[in-house]
Amino acid sequence: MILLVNGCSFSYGDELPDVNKRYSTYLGKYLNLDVKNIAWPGSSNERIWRTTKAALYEITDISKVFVMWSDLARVENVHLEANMATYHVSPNYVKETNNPLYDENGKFILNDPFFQFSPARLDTMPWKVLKSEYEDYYSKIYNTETGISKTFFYMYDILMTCKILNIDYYQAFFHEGNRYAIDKTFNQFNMNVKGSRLQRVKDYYNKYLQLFKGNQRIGFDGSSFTFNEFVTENKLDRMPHGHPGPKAHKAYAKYLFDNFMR
Amino acid sequence: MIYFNGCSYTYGIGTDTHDTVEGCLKYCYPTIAGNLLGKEVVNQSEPASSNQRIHRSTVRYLAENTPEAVCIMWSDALRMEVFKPGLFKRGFDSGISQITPQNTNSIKDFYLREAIEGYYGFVLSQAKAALDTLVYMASIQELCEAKGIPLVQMQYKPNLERYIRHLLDTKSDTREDKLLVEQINFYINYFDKRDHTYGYKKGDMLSFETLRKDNHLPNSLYSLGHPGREAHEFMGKWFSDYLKEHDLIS
Repeated sequence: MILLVNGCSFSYGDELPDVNKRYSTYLGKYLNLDVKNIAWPGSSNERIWRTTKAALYEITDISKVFVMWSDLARVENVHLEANMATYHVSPNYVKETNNPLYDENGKFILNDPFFQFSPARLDTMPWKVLKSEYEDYYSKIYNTETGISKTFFYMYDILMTCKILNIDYYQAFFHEGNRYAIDKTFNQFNMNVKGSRLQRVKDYYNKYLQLFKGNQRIGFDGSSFTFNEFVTENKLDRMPHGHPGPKAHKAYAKYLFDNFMR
Repeated sequence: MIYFNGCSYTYGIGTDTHDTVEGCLKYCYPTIAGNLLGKEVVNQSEPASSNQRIHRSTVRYLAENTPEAVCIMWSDALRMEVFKPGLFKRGFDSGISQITPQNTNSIKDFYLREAIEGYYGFVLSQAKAALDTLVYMASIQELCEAKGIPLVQMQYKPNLERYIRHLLDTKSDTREDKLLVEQINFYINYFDKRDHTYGYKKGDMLSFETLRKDNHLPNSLYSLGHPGREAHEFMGKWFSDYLKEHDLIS
């Protein structure tokens, strides 16, 4: 039987010297399950939802699913005009880090046509016009209410799919930033200012939230840790760009198993 | 009971003088199909719906209900939804506004309108929009199969066919284009193995709009650009006959 794991760079094991030493591998050993890890660095929650759904229907012997949701504001798009093959890093960086996400010439390797994007990466975008339009998107079109509504629908859809397919479902936040964003969106000041308009989103969010049990709220409410918090609180190792290190992955797998998945 | 979802074409916009809720509900094709079959109908369509909304509300409904059959008429793939209460005169669902490339002119805020025009011009691509709709269609297909519910999926206009045709005709041989064609072909092969899904591949033009034109049925007198009552009567009979002929309902 299989443990399906999905998420962003934290679940992929980005920066680890050996990607097989990520938390999902240890979790599989604890649970005595084969592991299928379909996480990808930079993932939007849309990609996580889309690929989890596809895997749930394509792979017949999944018994448990663990999804570590990413940043609410990330999006995915397809840009044929801005050829992603031109998006590359220095070949020296590839040699130094042995990063499997880039080929030997430093070209970014995509595994499907979708391009994952986040506000944090605006400054790295090499195409001027597209960068400007993304700045407009994040400053004028996107808002956290949309990010919350979308991500909680994705969670609900996977929860219901697992229920129909009789699969155990677990979920967590990768970073406490999501929790802060939700708390801030629905704080008393915003509720007073936006009134019934915001109340409708809060009701929508609460309707989904109340369906999730404890092991489907890992890192959601401060009573449990996000992966990032767990690393900080326990003073565990980090890689040069901030991702959890090998010891952190191993300890986090034990934390998940002991507290939520045993 | 039969479940329908879609956009204004399923809601019945154009079938009544002032598009009243009661009038649209009375004359729209889902009601007509239900009357012909002697079945109760749940119609969760909303005018201007994006396919995101159609997918979202269908999943929510099917998670808690098991209708005898599900009929989805997908809308334009380029439509999207964002939380913007008061963006237009009327808001739907949790203040989540449905935005179409055609209704950007109705957006009150100048800067937001500019940003959305830029979004449609530079950020959102036909490729992304078409793939999203194929993903939503497959999601509903799998959900219905898992619950053993017969499903008919079609398009309001043959827009998805056009987007897919254009994308598959791309002559570029970049790695990204190949990945895109591979992804589209995955979904075409997926739906080829299933019945009762229309408008997802090159040359498959079946839609409410093409059926209306092929049968020389007029557009609405009240709301130009939407099918009139005769077209809705035709579509209602089409669904009724289809469900019966394919033994999709008892």
